[in-house]
Order: sequence, then structure tokens, then C-alpha cells
Amino acid sequence: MTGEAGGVRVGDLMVGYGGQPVLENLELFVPPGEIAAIRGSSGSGKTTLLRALAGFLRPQRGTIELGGQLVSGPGVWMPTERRNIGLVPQEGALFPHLDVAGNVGFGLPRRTRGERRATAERVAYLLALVDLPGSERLRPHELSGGMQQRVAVARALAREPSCILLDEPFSALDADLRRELREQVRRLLKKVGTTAILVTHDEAEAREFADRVHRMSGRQLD
Amino acid sequence: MRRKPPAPLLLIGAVVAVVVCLPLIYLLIRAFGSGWSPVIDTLARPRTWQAFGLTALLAATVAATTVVIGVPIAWLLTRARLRARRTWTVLVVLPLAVPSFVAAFAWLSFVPGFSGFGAAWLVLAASTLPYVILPTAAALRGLDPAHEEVARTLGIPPVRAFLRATLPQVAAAVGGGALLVALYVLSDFGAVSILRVDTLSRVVYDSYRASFDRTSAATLALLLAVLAMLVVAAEQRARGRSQRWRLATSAPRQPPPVETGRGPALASHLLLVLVVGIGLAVPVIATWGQMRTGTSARLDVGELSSAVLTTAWYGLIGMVAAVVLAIPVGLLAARYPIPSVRLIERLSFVGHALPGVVVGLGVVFIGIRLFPGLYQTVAILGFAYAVLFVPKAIAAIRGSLATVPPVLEDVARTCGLSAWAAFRSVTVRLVAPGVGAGAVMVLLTVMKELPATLMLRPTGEHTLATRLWTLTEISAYAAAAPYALALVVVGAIPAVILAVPLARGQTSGDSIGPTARAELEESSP
Repeated sequence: MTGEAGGVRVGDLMVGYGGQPVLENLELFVPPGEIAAIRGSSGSGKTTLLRALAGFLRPQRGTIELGGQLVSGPGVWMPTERRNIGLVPQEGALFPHLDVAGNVGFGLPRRTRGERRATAERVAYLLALVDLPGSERLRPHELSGGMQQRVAVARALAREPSCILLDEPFSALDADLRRELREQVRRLLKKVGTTAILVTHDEAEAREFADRVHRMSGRQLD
Repeated sequence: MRRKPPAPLLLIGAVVAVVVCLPLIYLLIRAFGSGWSPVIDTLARPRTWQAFGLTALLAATVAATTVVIGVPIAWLLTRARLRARRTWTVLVVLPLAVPSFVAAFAWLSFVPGFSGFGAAWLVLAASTLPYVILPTAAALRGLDPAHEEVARTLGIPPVRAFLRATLPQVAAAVGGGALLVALYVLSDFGAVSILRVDTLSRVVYDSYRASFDRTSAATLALLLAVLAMLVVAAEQRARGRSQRWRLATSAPRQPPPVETGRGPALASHLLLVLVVGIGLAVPVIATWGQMRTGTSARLDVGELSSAVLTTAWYGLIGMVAAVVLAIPVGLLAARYPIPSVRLIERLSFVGHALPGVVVGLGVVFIGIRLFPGLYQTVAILGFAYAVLFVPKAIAAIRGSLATVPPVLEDVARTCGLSAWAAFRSVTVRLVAPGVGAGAVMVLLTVMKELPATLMLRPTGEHTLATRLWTLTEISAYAAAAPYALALVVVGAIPAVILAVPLARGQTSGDSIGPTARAELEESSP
């Protein structure tokens, strides 16, 4: 089980570009194992919040705790690679030069023979979890859009992250596939118990996928 | 379903492909015309294989050097937070403006005794570095940073994330740049001659000048052509593998600039200073100094003006010849990718793999045997330029046409226009800027061309390049300096054309892409 300690906690967050704040006095709490959705129109600041949580942006003020650990705050800054998070971007962003196994096991150790065997077993387990057993040797361009997103979810789960960030992961899919994949990913996240934050502009998607929905308005969450 | 090309267009394309291959065909006839024994005699000489080995070694070491230095510089220019990034971008591309034989001439006047393999390696690597930097930087800018970001979330530190997630995806661009470098080195004649390195192109030219029997020169030229084609085939094979990885993705966003820290930032600036110093500053300053202080300095303004005009005139002829031949092939390649068109396109690209000295020699034979009235006239020189540079023009036409979906012409047809009127009023207008830019590149490449011009120019006429060459042959370095500087000024134009879009594409350092930019704009009062 993952992510049971701490969930996600954001306090008094301020993020801006060139001196102009995009997020200000933002507060957020996602209990461990819950799925939260951040809903907002284009340009509302939801992507900025996600990037600050991931460590791609450095806040000007405030604190961020992931899995009970302070990763950003006064005098504290933990780089992305040490935050133990998973990211599922729009369109999956699978590494096109690697096969499915290479993608899912990208962040797993493979120096020794034992590590390689453990990684292969973990990859097989995750692929079974996302309903793609035996697809290890396939290349990303051989997968449909939905399959690519499922591989991206498996990759994000591979290191047992304390939190998974989903950046409009279903937006490039058609309506039926979107609904089906949404339900499948939700079931999966609940099964592994990982805290998750979904960013979306779609109200219905936010309600159906998440345990709680926050709306971005005026640089804050309501 | 693939559309079939109109028969007349296919026929014209086929004729162009055959015409472009004529110098190579004639070289084969010339080499093997007297049987196998002269060819075997030439191939049995130790000097032939020494030159072959030296040429291959020089091409390999220069290409490897440009990759090792060019990829980090491309990364610095596109991904790192770098002070005066736009200025550096223009400066590292500007060595393109300095023909390698001008750089060699300048270095020789700057460091007496500067010659040999090491000297040629340094000069050619500095001159050709932009060929790797430009495509790599463009590929890095076109890549979705999400891959590297995902790698970071998976616990991979920044440098390893770049090496594992990004570099394999830009490998095709790096390989394409390295191919251009290798072909440049194989075809280089001026720099290796000035620096006294006996590569195949120099040996071919010496053999052509030294003997009435040109079989040996033809054989050596074919050997050089085979080497160039091997390089092209190897690159195509590598590119074929990497293209299978490509995924269709939406337009990438601009990644945030990477903070490098003080030590790496200092090292980055030192690297840039070194590269710009070797490739640009030393050639320009040394040439300028040579002109001002040299003992043979006697600037004949009339001769210089005449050379400038001849250079521009030849450039114009070469450009028109290459573009006219390229239009049917480019059109076929962009619109009708059937197997016969692919063959026509491949054959038309033969000049891409043929060094100037090889094409020059082939056209000399054609001129003497088939069209003696045209030998050493502007017409036969224009033909040689067309063979050499038609691939550049085809690439520009094909690339521009690929950005115009044929459906636009279909829509124009439904508005009542004839097929020709639809093509003219929609497609021609949309591709004109791209084709124009390609034509300017051909014009300026022709203006710097040396070996084919030396072999085929009308007697008594001089371009800037040939005048520079003849003066350096008699060690009149100071007299040659004004011609070298004039060539640098001419070459600066395409270099700036190439560098400005790359420099403009940089963000000011605070942006992380359209989404964040939109958020910033919306949050502004």
C-alpha cells in the first residue's frame, strides 16, 4: 500500500511569473488515499499548481507537503526526482525510443541481475494491473491512445509514489473511451490506495473521477 | 489512396534525375573506358589508399568532435538559463559565414607553420560545428519537455534524464548534422590544400592538373564518391531506425530554462568563447590584420569589384539552374510519394553525396567529349552547380509543399478555380517564402564554391573564391585578404538568416509555455 501517510497539504502558496502572481494564498488538503480534482477554465492557474507540486516551479511563498514530508517551504526545496511522485501528462508522453517495458520500468533500478529480475516482475505486475498483460515488447506507436495512457499510469505507479498527479490525462481521447478509462483508472487508484490529484477543465469528469472537487477562482481554490 | 502523378510531370522528373546523374555516369565511362587495368593500377598505388584512409579518418574525427561539442552547445542555447543567449546563438552559427578555406588561410597567417592533419581537424571542426548545432537545437526545441519531466518524477537526476529520455529522441537530428559535417569534410578541397593534407579531393585535383591521362583522376574521383555514398547510406540506415520511434504529438510547449549553477555556467561560457574564438574571431581578425600589415597588400579595387560581380552572376546562374530542375522533383516528392517518384528523388540527390571536385571532373569530361563548344562557358558551369546544389533546392521545395495540405487546393477547386489556378493562387503563394529562402541558400552556397568553379570557369574570369585561391597558391596572403573578407561578408547573410529564427525562438527565461503564459495573462489586472 502506498501514500497512507500525510496525503497532500499546501499552505499559503504563492506562485508567479515575472513578479505577477498566478496563485496566491492558496490552501489545499487531500487526505491520504483520496482523489481530488482541481477544476478550472483555461488560464485559471490549475496547471501552475500541478507544476509547483511536482517541483517544476519554485513557489515564492508557502509550504507543500507530500506524503507527510515537507518538500517546499522556507529554506526547504526538494528537487522533483526526490519527491516520490508520479505524473501522468496529457497524451501520456511515453518515451518513443523505448518499448512498453522500458517505459514502465524507466525509474526502477536495473544495475544487477537481481534488480533487473525484480524490475521485470514489477513491470509485469503493473501491466496486468492496467489490463495490458504481455505487452512488454510493444512500442508506443503500436498502442492506441487509451493503451498509451494506461501505460503512462502504470509507469507513474511503478515506484509506489506518495502522490500521483494527473494533468488532463483523458482529454485527447474520444468520449466513450474517456469514460471507460476514467472508471478504470479510478478503480486502480483506489485499489493501490495512492493519493491523486487530477487537473481538468471538465466539470463532469471532475465529479465522476474524484472524491472531492476544488475549483480554481481568483488565484485560489474555493 | 495515393494519387498518381500526371504523366508529363513524371517524365520531366525522370529526365531531371538522369541529367543530374550524368557526371557520375560519365566518370564511370571515363574510368573504365580503357578497360580494368588503368583502374587497377590506380587502386594498387599505396598513395591512393593512404589518401582514402586519411580522408575517412579526417571525416570521422571531425564529425565526432562536432557531435561531442555541438550537442552540449545546442542544449545550452535551448534549455539552459544563459546570459546573452540570443547573441551567443548568432555567434556560434556565424562560423558558417567563413568558408573553411578562408579559415585555413587565416589560421596559417595567424600561426606560421600551421598545417597537417591536426590543423585541418581544428579548422574543419570549427567551420562545421553549426551543422550539428542548428538541427540539434531545432530538434530540442521541437521536443515535448514532458518526457524529461516524467523522467524526473521517476527519480532520475537532470543530466541522466536528458541522456536517457531526450538524447535518443534527437539522435536523428544529431546524425543528420554529423552527416553534413562528414560530407563537407569529404568534399573539402580548399582547406586541406592550404593546410597540406593529402585527402582524396586534393589528390583528385592534383591528378587532374598533373596529367593528360585523366583515367587516374576519374578513378580517384569515383573512390571519393563511393566513400561519400557509404556515409550517406550509413546515416540513412541509422535515421530509418530512429524514425520508427517517432510518435505523433501535439505542438510542444517551451520548457523552463535549467539553472546550471555558477561553476557549470562559467564552464559553459568558456566553451562558447573558445568555439567562437576558433571558428570566427581568429579567422576574421587574422584576415583583417593580414590585409593591413601584409607585405603583398595592394588592393586593386577594380579586380575586387569584378570578382564580386562575377561571384554574384555565377551565384544567380547556379540558383536559377538548381531551382528550375528542382521544381518538378520537389513537387513529385511532396505530393506523389509512389515508388517511381522515390527513385527519381533519390537519383536527384546524388549531388548531395558528390564532392565538388568529383562533379567538376565529371562535367569536364562531358564538356570536352559531348559539348566541346560549351566547355569552359558559364552554361556548363551552371550545369555543374545545378548537379551539386539541386538537392538543397529540392529539400526547400519539398519541405514547403509538405506544409500545405492538398485539401486547400481541393477547396479552391470547389470555389470554381481550375486545377492550375488553384495551384497558383493557393499553393504557390503559400510555398513562396520557403522556396525563396531555399533559393537564397543555394545562391550563397554557389558563391562560395571552389573546386568545380576552378575547373570549369571561363578562362580569365575569377570569383572571390578562385581569386583567393590563386593568390594563396603563390603565398600572396595580404593580397588575398580582401577577397577572404568579402567572402565572409557574403557568407554572413545566410548564417544570420539561419541564426535569427533560432535566436528569436528563445524565451526570456521566465516562461514555461502557453498554458502558464495564458494563466499569467489571465491573472494580470
